[in-house]
Amino acid sequence: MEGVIMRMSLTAFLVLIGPVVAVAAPPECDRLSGKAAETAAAVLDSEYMYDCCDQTIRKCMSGAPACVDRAASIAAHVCRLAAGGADRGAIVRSLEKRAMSVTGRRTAQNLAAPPEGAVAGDAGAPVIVLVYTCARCPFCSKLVPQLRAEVETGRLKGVARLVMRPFPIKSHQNSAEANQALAAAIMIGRGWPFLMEAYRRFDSFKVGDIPAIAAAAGMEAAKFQAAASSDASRQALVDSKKEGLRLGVDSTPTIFIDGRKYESELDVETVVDVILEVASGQKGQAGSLK
Amino acid sequence: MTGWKRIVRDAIVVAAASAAVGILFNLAREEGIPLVAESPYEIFVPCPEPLGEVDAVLPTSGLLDQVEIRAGRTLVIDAGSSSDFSSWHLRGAINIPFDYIEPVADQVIRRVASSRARHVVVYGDGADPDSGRELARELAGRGISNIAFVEGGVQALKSARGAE
Amino acid sequence: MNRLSRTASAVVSCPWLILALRLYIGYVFLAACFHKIVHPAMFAVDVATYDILPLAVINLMAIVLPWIELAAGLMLVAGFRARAAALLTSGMMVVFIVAISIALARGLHMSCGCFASQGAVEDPISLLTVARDAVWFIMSVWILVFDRNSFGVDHLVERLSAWKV
Repeated sequence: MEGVIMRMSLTAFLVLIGPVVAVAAPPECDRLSGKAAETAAAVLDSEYMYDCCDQTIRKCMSGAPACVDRAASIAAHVCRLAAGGADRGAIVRSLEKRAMSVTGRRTAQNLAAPPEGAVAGDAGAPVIVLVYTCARCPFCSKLVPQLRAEVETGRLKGVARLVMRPFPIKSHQNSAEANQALAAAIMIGRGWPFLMEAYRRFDSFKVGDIPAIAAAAGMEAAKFQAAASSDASRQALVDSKKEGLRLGVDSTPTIFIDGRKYESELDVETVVDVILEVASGQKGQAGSLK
Repeated sequence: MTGWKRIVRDAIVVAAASAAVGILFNLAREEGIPLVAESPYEIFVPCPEPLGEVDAVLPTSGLLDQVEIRAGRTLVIDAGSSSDFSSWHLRGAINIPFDYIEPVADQVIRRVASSRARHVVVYGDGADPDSGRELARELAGRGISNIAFVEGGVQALKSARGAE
Repeated sequence: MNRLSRTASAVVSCPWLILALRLYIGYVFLAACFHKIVHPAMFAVDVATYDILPLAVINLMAIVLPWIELAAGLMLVAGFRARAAALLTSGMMVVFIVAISIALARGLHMSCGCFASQGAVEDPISLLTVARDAVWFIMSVWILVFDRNSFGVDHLVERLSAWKV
């Protein structure tokens, strides 16, 4: 009985101080040890925030409340890279790329409104995230479903809309067939269910599976067949690829957040953190990261 | 001890000894890796379009002079569709219609590679993106060297050299 | 008939042929292990790319395997316990063939440039890789079965001790 009370009070204590601890040092940093911890500490103590606060990252973490969350998110970025064995130079370069992704020039602006079948997330969400993706790209098959889950139900719900743009990579086998089918699914309004199903079956994919994937994505066989073999879906795919090339896309996935090309780490945590950072800047209230 | 038993014994001893040496060596060296990986390996990396570096040349470039083309020193490639190609092309050019989705066929790559031209120059529609530049980048990514595209594409080329 | 089979067995166990096989397989393994020993982290990524071993043993495999390759390669070239070394190389070839076959069957197209390991891009696996490894496996087994002390360290030691007595 005493043990239970002890545990309950300990839990209550942790829940109460939890947010404070999380701001002071992100869990990514607490887990570090040895050389990785030294590298991370050196970066946090010497690098300055690119926005919001004029101090080193470490000082900003306990500085003005408006920037505390932002500093913690950048510290988590630093510690994740340090845990992966990155040296100081690599971490600083990654932070520079993050800065460009948040404050750089907008290159993807005034694009045609995306068809409904290509958009995921809440209709009113303020930040538009474009993702150039190939239906046969293994990396995309991991990252894109994670991002979609974030905008549908996760940390980005109500914050961001995720717009997919097919960008067939020529070296992927069957990329022409798979991506034209994706373009057809977008035309019918079922782009996201199709892409998720195609990624779910990624490893065993054959061209012959496309009708079954379309059926699983809720499309009528005849309607899908007609769209997938139409000149319109082919043209839509070519237009999407041309638009990507104009924007300087040369690999998949390539992400644009609020019109800026995202250049930093392509793990879902960092991407989501940066989208939240952009969102907090948009609202003009830097403290609303979490 | 029979011969086979001895062989198996020796093999096990050698394997165990080398394993021990390997582990000790790994512990001792600077760039050693942890015995058990701390986090899952990120096997996948973003997928690059297989493109190479290309130069831009002006439509008036000497590389496009008929002397160079006829001598086989420059191979000129028209990236337009076959109907565009038949309505106008630079004399001596060959036609490789560029497609934004399908890669250039292997035998076409071999044909370009086996031409003994010193330079390959591609011209396309001159639009944004320019099909000529894109075809040149794709060919470069597939191993064709000394390749350039004509700035401004077919229109610029026509007005500069239409009479040739 | 008898004579024919005797001739055949004389050919397959000809010491010079065995020596050539030993030097070749030894060279293959020495060449293969060098890069892996110098860059263990890169080899660990290669191992992980196959997505067969659990995370807990990937690094151990990456640390240990190149050294066994080195030892077996050296023993084959030097002619020291060559049959034991051939047993090791045969075993390793079986492991490689199984791993590559599993990767191929799963449809991992390791040539598209989408893998952290650059080796997968520059030297994509295919049925040809399996065939090549199968040939090396057969050569290893050949040494294992037919080697009768062809020229090498063991051979010298034996000759020397016979000469002393």
